[in-house]
Amino acid sequence: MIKVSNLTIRYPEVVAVDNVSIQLKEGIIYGLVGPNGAGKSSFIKALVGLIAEYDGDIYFDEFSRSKDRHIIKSLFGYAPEDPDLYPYLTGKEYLHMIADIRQVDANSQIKALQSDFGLDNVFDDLINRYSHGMRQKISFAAALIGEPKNLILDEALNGFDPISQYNSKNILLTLARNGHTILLSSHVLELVENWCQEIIILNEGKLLAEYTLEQIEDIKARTGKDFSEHFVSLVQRPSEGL
Amino acid sequence: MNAILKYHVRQLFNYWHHLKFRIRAEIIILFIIFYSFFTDKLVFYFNQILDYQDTSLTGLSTIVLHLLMLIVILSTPFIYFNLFPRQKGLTNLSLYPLKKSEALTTLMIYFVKYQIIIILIATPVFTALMLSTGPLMLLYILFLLCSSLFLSGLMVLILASKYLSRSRIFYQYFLFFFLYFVSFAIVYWTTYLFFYYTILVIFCGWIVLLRYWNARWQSWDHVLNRYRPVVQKSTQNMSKLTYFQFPSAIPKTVRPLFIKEILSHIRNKNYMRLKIISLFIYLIIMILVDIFYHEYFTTAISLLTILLIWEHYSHQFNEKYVMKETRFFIKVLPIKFYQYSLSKFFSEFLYIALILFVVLILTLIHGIALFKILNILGIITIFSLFVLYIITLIRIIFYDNPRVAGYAYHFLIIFTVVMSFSFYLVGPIVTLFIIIYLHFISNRQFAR
Repeated sequence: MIKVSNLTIRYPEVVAVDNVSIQLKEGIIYGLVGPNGAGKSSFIKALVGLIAEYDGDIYFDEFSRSKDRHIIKSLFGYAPEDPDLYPYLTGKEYLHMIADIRQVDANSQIKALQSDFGLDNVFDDLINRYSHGMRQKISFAAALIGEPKNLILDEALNGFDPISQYNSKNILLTLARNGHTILLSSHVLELVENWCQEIIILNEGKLLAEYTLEQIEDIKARTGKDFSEHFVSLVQRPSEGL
Repeated sequence: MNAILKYHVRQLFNYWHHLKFRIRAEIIILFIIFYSFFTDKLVFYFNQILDYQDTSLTGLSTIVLHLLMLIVILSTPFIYFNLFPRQKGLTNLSLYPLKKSEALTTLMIYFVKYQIIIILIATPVFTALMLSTGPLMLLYILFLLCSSLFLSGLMVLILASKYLSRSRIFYQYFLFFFLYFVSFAIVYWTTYLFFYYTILVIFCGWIVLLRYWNARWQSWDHVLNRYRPVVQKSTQNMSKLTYFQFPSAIPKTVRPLFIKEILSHIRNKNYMRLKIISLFIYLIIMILVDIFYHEYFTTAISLLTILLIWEHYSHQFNEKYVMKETRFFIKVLPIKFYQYSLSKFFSEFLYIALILFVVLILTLIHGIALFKILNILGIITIFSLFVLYIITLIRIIFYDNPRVAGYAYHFLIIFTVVMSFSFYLVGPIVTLFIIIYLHFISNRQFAR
C-alpha cells in the first residue's frame, strides 16, 4: 500500500505537484496519465526518493518516506523510462547484482525473466551493446527482482516489443493478484486502459480525476466518447471531471 | 551578434542564473581567495627575481609569453583529439545545414573554450606581473592581446571568404586548425631555438603558415576522412572473469558493489590501458632518474609517485575511463553509504597496492636504507589513502556530474598541498575538517 498525503513539490519557478493526496491499495494496477508537464514524473520521483524536497507525507505500508528511508528502499521496485545501467556488466550479471543487493535468491526468477523478455541471445553480452528497448527490459526485470510489494513504472514499457509487452502484462496481473501494488505511468492511454484497474489523471500538478474501469465504461456509455476523447476534453475543461 | 554565438553565450548566462545564490556566492568567494592568494605569492616571487637576480623586464615578459604560448600549443592537439569529439553541441550542430559563418563561429566557440579556461587560470600570473613591474607590462600585455585578436580576426576572415562544402565543413575546419597549430608550434620553437625569438619572425611564420595550409587543406579529402575525429568506442571484448567467479570470502554486504567496480575497471580497456601505460612511463622515468640523477632518487620517487597517483585518479572523473554513478543506484536501491564507499575504496586500492610494490622494488634495487624505504612508503600510502578517500566522497557528492567532481578533486588536492606547505599545522587540520564535512555530505546522499 502506498499513501500520499498533501504532496506538494515546488521547483524555483513552478509548482510541479500541488497538494496531491491519494492511496494506492494492494492488488490493484494503477495507471497514471496526464499531459506533458502534468507532474507525473515529479510525483513518481518523490515516491521513489529521487526528489527529497517536498511538503506532505509519503507512506509505504506503515513506513514514512521521511523517517524510514532505508526500509522503504526494500519495499518497492522502480523502472524509469531512461534506465541508467552499468555498461560493463552483462544483463545477467546486472540482475544478479541487484538480487545480491536486495539479498534475495532470484536464480529461478532471473531465468524466467530472461525467457519472458526474449533476452536469451544477449543475456551474456555487455549492456553497452544493448539497444534502448533491451535496456528497458533489463531495468524492468531488475525492478521485479525479489517481487517487491510495490512496483513503480515510469514510462518503463515504451520500448517493449509486442511479445515482451504481452508477457509483462501477465507478470503484472499475477503480481496484482498476489496483493502487490503497482503504479504504471504512461503516455499511451490504450495501454493504461487495457492494463490498469484504476486510472489517475494529473494535470498542472493537481489530481484531476481518479477512475475505476467501471466508471470509465459508464462515461463511455453516457457520453459516447472513448477514453482518449474524454481525457482530452477533461484536460482542456477540468470541470468535466468526477 | 551571430545567432550561434548569441545562443552559446545565453547558455552560459542561463547556467549561471540557474545556480542557487549560495553556490554563486561560494564560487565568487573561492575565486577571489585563489586569485588573491596566487597573485600575492607570484608578486613576491617576481619581485625577488627582479630585485636579486638582475633579470630584465623584457626577459621576464618573454618567460611569461613563452609560458602562455606553450600552454596554447600543447593544449591544441589535446583539444583536437580528445575534447572536440565529445562536444555534444558541436555534434548536434554539425547535422544542420549551417552557413559558413555559423559553422566557423561554432567551431571557434568550442575550440577557444578550453584555451580561454587555461588562459583564465594564468591571469594571476599577468596580474602579478603588472603589480611587480608597473604600467609598462600592462602595455606589453595589451599589445599581445591586440595582436592575438588581429591575427585571429585575419584568420577568420580568410577562412570565411572560402567556399566550403557544407557536409564536410566541420571536419575541414578541424583539420585546418590542427595542422595549422602543429606547424605553428614547430615554427615557434624553431625560431626560438635558432633565431632567439623575435616577434617579427613569429608573425611572419604565422602568416606563411596560414597561406600554406589554407591553400592545401581543402583538397585533401582522403586525409580528411582518415583524421576525422571520432569518440573511441568502448571495448566490446569481454575479459573472461565474470560476476560469478569471485571468491565467496568477500563479505556479502559489499560483494555485489565491489564486484561491479572491479568488472567495470577490468572490462573498460581504456581504463586498464591507462593504468598500465601510466605505470610503464613512471617506471621508465624512475629508471632514468636512477641512472642520470642518482643522488636525487629518494626525492624523485616520492614526488613522482605522488604525482602519478594524483594524475591517475583524476581520470576517475572522465567518463571515458569511469562511468558516472547512476542516480537510481544511489537513491533508489537499498544501499548504505559504508557499502558503497568501501567497495569503491578497496576496488581502487588494488592499484595503489601495485604501485607501492613497485616503489618497494625500486627502492630496494637502489639500495636505500630500510628506515628510509618505510618512510617513503608511509608518505605515499598516506597520500594514496587521502586521494582514494577524497575520490570516494566526491564521487558520491557529485555522482551525476563527473566534470564538477573532477574540478572539486583537483581543487581539494591543490588546496591541501598549498595549505600544508604554507601553514604546517593549520593546513592539515583544515583539510581534516574539510574531509569530515565531505564525509557528512556524502553520507547524506544516501540518507535523503
